[in-house]
Amino acid sequence: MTEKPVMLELKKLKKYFQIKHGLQLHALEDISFSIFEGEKFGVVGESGCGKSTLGRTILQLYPATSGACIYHGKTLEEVSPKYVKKEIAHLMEYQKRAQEFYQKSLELEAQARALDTRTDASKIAELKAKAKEYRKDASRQLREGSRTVGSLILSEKLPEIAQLFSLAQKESETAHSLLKKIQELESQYLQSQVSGSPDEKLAQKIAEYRRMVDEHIAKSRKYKEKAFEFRGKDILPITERCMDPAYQAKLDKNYETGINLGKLTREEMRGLRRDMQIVFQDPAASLDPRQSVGKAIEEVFIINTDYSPAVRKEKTLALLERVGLKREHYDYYPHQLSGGQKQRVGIARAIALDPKFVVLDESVSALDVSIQAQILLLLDALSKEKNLTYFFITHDLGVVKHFCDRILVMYLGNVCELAPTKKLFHKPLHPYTISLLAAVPRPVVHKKSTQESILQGEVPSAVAPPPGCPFHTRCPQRMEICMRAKPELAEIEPEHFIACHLYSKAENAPSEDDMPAR
Amino acid sequence: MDATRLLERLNPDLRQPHLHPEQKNERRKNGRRMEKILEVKDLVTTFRIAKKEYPVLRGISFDIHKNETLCMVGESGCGKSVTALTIMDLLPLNANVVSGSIKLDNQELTVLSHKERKALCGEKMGMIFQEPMTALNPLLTIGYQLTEGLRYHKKLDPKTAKEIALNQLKKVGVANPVERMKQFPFQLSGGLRQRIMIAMVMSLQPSIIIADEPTTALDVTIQKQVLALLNALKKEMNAGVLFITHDLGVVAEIADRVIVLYSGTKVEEGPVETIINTPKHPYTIGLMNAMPHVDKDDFEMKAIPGTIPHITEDISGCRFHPRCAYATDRCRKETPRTIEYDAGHFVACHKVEEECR
Repeated sequence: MTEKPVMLELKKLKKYFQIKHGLQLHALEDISFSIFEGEKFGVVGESGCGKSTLGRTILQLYPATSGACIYHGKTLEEVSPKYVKKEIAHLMEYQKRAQEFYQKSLELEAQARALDTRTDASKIAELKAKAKEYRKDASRQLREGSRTVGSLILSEKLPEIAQLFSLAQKESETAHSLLKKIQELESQYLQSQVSGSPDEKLAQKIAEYRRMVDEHIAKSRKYKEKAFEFRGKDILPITERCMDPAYQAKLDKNYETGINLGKLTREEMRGLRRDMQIVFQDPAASLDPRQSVGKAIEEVFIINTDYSPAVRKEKTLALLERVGLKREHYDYYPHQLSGGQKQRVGIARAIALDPKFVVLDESVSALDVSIQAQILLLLDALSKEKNLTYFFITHDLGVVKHFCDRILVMYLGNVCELAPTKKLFHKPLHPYTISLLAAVPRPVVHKKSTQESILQGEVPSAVAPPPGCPFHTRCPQRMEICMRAKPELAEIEPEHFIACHLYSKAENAPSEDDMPAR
Repeated sequence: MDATRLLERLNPDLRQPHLHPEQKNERRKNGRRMEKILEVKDLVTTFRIAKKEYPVLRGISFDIHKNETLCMVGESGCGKSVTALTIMDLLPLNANVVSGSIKLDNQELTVLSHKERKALCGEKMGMIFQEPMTALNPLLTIGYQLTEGLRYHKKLDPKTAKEIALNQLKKVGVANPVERMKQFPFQLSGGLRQRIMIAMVMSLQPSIIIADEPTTALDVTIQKQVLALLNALKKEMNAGVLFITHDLGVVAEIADRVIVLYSGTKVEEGPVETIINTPKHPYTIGLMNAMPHVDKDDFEMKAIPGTIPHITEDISGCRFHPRCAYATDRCRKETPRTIEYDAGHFVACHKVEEECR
């Protein structure tokens, strides 16, 4: 799985909406996952779980509250966004802040040590936990800084490294000039050979020069090696963990060419929108009733390209045919089209600029089953043809099963489960996924479904999400720990991620006493 | 038709040939002869668009018995909702019921005046709408709206009406009903609003309930709760339910019998097991193939080509033939007759008719 190139990477993405009285609606909480290139990535969940917010936050239609959304479809060099410059200017701040946080953690630990272990056990634990948090903050600051410019910033001796590199450069320059001289001398020597009296002196000189070149090259290499020695060694004394070579390697890996979408300016994001498109749920609402279909699609070319009108029209007509409409639909108005046809126009608009990443926000939910299948087959064909990556948002489990490669299950702004489609449907692990699957109406007549499999209650309010695991208020397998601690997303099996205490640790396995009486 | 009814009376097992043995027993317990509560025959409704009349319902017939759920399936624009509105007399002004009869408890409705039918609405026929937010008045409290029917139809004083309403809310599983009575619709979640709607309909004890896509706007987990609730209440009240939906999964869960509509005509009717397991009409088969199946792995989605015809489109012969893979010349010219393929299983298709011969 890791060999697949990553298209989009979310890191601790958070989105809170401010509502009145200073309250916050927790729409997304620490969402982290990657989407691979050419993948059909599905997101399912009930309404209000944050699916659509996630899709829109990725496209920067909503600004993220915190966290990063890194796009790998283009490299930093290609776009050269302004934020990189700013980031470099802020590097010192990141270091400073990291150091501050570390200092604070040290202070807290000192305080904890001063206390009596017998009487203030709970306080000590509290202080220690706080210190740990600060330490985490410190390393987070380091990561933030290193994310864009690599691990170089961690070295104090940047000037020395630069000097070594310039020395190496000089050595190789002299070697280069010597090589040129050798060439000249060789030609002279050849001439003398032809004339019958080979110049022995020249031959000696050439041999000497050769030796010198080798020396210079060896020297240059030495300097470079010396410079590389600084890498991963000469680290600012910020945390002990930083001294660990494994952690170093991890930090080095943070150097990346991806673009942090959240930090782009409006104009830069506009440029990237060609690569990232969206198809909305309601095809009627996303088309202007006073604009003909042809004009609606052509508008995309007018804004983003400098094609001549004739080329624009030809491209639009080709697109109409590609999405299964007829050429004469160019002059139609949205009210003359059926729901499925309108959605085809929406798709044509989205793929007009050959994007790499398309968000499909409940794009087939408003359509009848027979039309829905038509549109899904069209989307499937397009993804194969143009190597599109889909982010497919839906509430219909049947649709994701037959359309998506990997599925993310969300509940109240949190990730519950992330797994390849087959695994999710054959072996769902999270209690929410299980009850969601059980609730799907199936076109199979059997003995009437039993009351037990019905999930009770409703989704709690996102303004005041329940403490601990967000699902614990409805979970049939609730344990005591679920009400206190929030489960972390962990890889239980290869490629199968899950956030549930049932699977987090062996000692947390459900026992008879933990089960609530229901 | 009469002959089959007579046969049924002699042998009640004939009616539902593919019943699960457990369900057969259940049916027997509920009474041998099922009483017809609603009878709709050859209903034709037209809409006037730009001074021209276009038929939306092209002769639809069905009956609903007591303690039975009849599901009406079809894509949008096939006339499901218009059927419901025709029965309830809630059609828009440009609509016209041309012919046909609607009998509720052997009382002919089409000859009644608008006022007389309005009095029946709610009391004998209850309707649950798709979007509870638009069906509830946002300016009035839940309590006022819940007791309105009791005060209007049953002429109860506010106090008793409130008591009945409170009981009803408890029955539909609303927690702390006293509080809820004072709240306004916008303060409730979608699932709760739908429960309020159901409580409102049930408090009048109607003999027939028409539910127009009551769970489409709800999430699957809430949908399952509401479906279970509807089923339980239906049994308790011994009412007939006309359940309109486009989701075949919901049909399998709740229906006793199913009718499939296409462009204003009934293309297939039968017990739920038959329609789901062995559908005969190409349209029903197409619907089954287009629906992504959650449990099957090797399922291949197949779309029905083309789109549903607009009501202004004039299609000769079978209305489905432009989208049908088996269409022949006969389909293009001749409107298919409804034949009884099996006891209780009616199909309107030339291909099926020819196979039967």
